Amino acid sequence: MSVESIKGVMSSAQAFSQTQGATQKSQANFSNILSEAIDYVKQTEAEAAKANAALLTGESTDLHTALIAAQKAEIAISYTVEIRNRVLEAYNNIMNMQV
Amino acid sequence: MGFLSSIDISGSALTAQRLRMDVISANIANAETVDPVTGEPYRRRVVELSERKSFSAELNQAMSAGVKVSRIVEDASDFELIYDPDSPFADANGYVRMPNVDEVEELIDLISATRSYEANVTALNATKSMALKALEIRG
Amino acid sequence: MLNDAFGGIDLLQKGLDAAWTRNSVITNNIANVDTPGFKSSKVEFESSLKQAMEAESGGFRAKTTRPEHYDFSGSVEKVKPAIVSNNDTSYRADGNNVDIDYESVELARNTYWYYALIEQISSEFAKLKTAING
Repeated sequence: MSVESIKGVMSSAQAFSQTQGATQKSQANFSNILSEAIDYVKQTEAEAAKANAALLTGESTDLHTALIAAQKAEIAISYTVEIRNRVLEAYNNIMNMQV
Repeated sequence: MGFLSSIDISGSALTAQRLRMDVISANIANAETVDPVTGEPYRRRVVELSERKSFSAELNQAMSAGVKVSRIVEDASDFELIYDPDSPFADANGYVRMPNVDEVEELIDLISATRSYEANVTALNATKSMALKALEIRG
Repeated sequence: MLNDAFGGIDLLQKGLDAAWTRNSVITNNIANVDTPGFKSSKVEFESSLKQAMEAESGGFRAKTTRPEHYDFSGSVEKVKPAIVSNNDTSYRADGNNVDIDYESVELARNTYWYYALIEQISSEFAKLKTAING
């Protein structure tokens, strides 16, 4: 996969997080990043559900809208799970540090 | 009908159209055939198609399940009369009876049967590809 | 508008059932293209699903303005594909009304609809597996 395309997905996730307000952005701590990722999951899930409904009721005139929405939702979940794993890993590293 | 019953539907049509093509081919092959002993001409034959039904226990009704050749009948239209007074089978006016087969009509019918056959092959392929796609459902 | 709960696997499966039934009906229409007296059929699903979805999400004004409360809950679950006969379309001299070109187009459209729904249902399963497997 090209780095450019991954950056493209990340930029849409970041664009989403930017809409959440300047104060949250300046406090880039783990819980905020995770909750933003979860919000992104909710948003993409809603869009995928809407696209599926359009496909099922015969209102959709193309194939790609639903397929793309589904892939975005899949990526959002993978992204969020990965962030959760990193958060956990970082927490464990900190807890294991010798003081 | 059982598993993948839409395939049976297409299959029934392929069988019926092929039989239709066979009958048409026989007509064309015998367009000039007269019995050498009796002088009796070949009589054109035609297939009769009808809807094939199968009973669905689930819905408690007869469901349409394709098509079948219900009968092969002889065309009762008149024989063709050809003027040939030298023939041993000529009648009082010098006419000989020939098969009631119009080759042009038979060819048109054959083309129609071929087109119908091809349309059913397309339908069969659609069912097959859908089934293959379903086998790809995975997480 | 449409409730977010309607994107699920069960709903996609309903669509797949409808597409499969539709394939059977179209295949049968094509099989009977030369049968005298045969009347073609079609499958109705999308419009009844849309109506049920609108009803369940409160699209009907009856739910809020009238004292009698119509309970539309569960109407989406009850939607099933319906096979309907095309009795009013024009027909040829032998009584057959199958339009082979129309059926061929519908066959193609339905096939791609089925493919798309398969992709969507696979995607749903993939998300569940990702969430479970971490």
